Amino acid sequence: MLDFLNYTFIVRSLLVGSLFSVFAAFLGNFLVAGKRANMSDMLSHFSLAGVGLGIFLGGGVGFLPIGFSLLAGFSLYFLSNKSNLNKEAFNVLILSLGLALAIFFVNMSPSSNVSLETYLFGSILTISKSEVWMISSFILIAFGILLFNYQKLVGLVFDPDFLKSQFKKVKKYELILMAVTSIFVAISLKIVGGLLVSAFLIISVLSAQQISSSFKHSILLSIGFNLLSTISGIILSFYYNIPTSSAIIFVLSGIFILTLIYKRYVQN
Amino acid sequence: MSEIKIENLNLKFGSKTILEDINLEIGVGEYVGLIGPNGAGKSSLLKCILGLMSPSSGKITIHDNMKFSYVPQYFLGETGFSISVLEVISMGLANKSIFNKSQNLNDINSALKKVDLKQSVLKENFLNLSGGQKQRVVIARALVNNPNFLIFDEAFSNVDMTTKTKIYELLARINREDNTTILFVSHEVDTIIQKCKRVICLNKHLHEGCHPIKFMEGKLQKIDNIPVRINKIHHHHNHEKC
Repeated sequence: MLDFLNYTFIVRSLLVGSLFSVFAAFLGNFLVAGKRANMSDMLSHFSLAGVGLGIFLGGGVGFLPIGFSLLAGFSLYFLSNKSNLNKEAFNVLILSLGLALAIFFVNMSPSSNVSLETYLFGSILTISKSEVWMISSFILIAFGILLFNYQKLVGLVFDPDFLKSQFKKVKKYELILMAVTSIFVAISLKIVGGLLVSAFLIISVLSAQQISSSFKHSILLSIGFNLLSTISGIILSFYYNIPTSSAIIFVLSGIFILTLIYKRYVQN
Repeated sequence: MSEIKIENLNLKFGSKTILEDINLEIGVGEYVGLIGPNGAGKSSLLKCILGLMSPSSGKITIHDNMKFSYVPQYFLGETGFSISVLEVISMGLANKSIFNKSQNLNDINSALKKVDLKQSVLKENFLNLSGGQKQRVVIARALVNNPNFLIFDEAFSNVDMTTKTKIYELLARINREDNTTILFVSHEVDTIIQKCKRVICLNKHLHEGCHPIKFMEGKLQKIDNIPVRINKIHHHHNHEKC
């Protein structure tokens, strides 16, 4: 029954996937509560431009997606603070520009071993040992930072004006949230792909919102949903030979429907 | 002693003037009502005082030991996210260490007591509360850090009259018993007149000492038995007859 555990790559992907999905759910609650849900899509598409540039230059992608993602995150932050820019519309601009740059770079590049597709759809089963270390250490550090500033971040996403009236240095927390989200989205490209990373940040939070009574409750529930979907998705993909990311998102969406039914027929 | 002193404050967005030549002093323990029609700049003035907005010119001097708190007009609109009452009130403690749990819980309980809410409400989802309960929770959040200056931006659209009266009484009690200075902003002139010791009328400029009801009706006549203090003499304009 548990024969899939004999494969190192499956065990590795289960470990990374679990850590990844727990953190995605945690961070996702701050993004959804703070109405920043479509920011993750914008960041992921713009990091793809980094992948494209890496492919164009040859010699691997490296930290380029992280650089591009941070660039997009901070431009959104500074432009929307300085002007009356509509954040949502600006997100679309950055998103399209990112994708356009990615396609442009890939098209211009001489033949390459790295494929853009890996970063569009992710490839959790082919994660290397060094990638495991990089992803895990980032997630643990980011978890620490968010937990340490938890109370202020809750204030920031629910009522920034109130937080500002109590506490002058609010920008710092805004920047922390922006930087953590940007880096996290960029490193997710290899795991779940640029097109699907938002699903991990948002769907489980949406499901948890149907039945939760507090922010903490919502965090715990969404972590549970994400973990369940990731583990079962990886196992399903192993046995039925379907793409892992798709399998995970099917389970996530199934859970969302179940929470809707639960809310409609059980809770009320 | 004044807690806050505003001198020659102007606020402009592009070519649009929001606030012009505002001069205002509020002393310790005062209960001041601020009224004005929609778009008069009430919320902008509050935001300048709270430091959420920087005035285009002018000066705001705030007493050193002042601890502001704020009850905003809107909190968690229709697209609200689940959050418990405990979590809402805890936002008022963002300055405090999270490791001091028992002290924080004491502060939360005494804030709950002030707004007449039971401890059992702490676990409830804020979104499921009635309008009146929500308003009390948001007041508790503002009081939990023991402020000495409370700014209350009224939004009572979905609160019935009985609840409103209770909240007015609650504010009066906080003002009386804790000597908390209150700046109360409202559209409802009648209540302001009844509850506040001092009323300021705002419509871009300040009109202090004019009759609030007449002011809100758009009739800016001088009332004989109330001393008039005109903050802005505006030529060729009926403001001078505040």
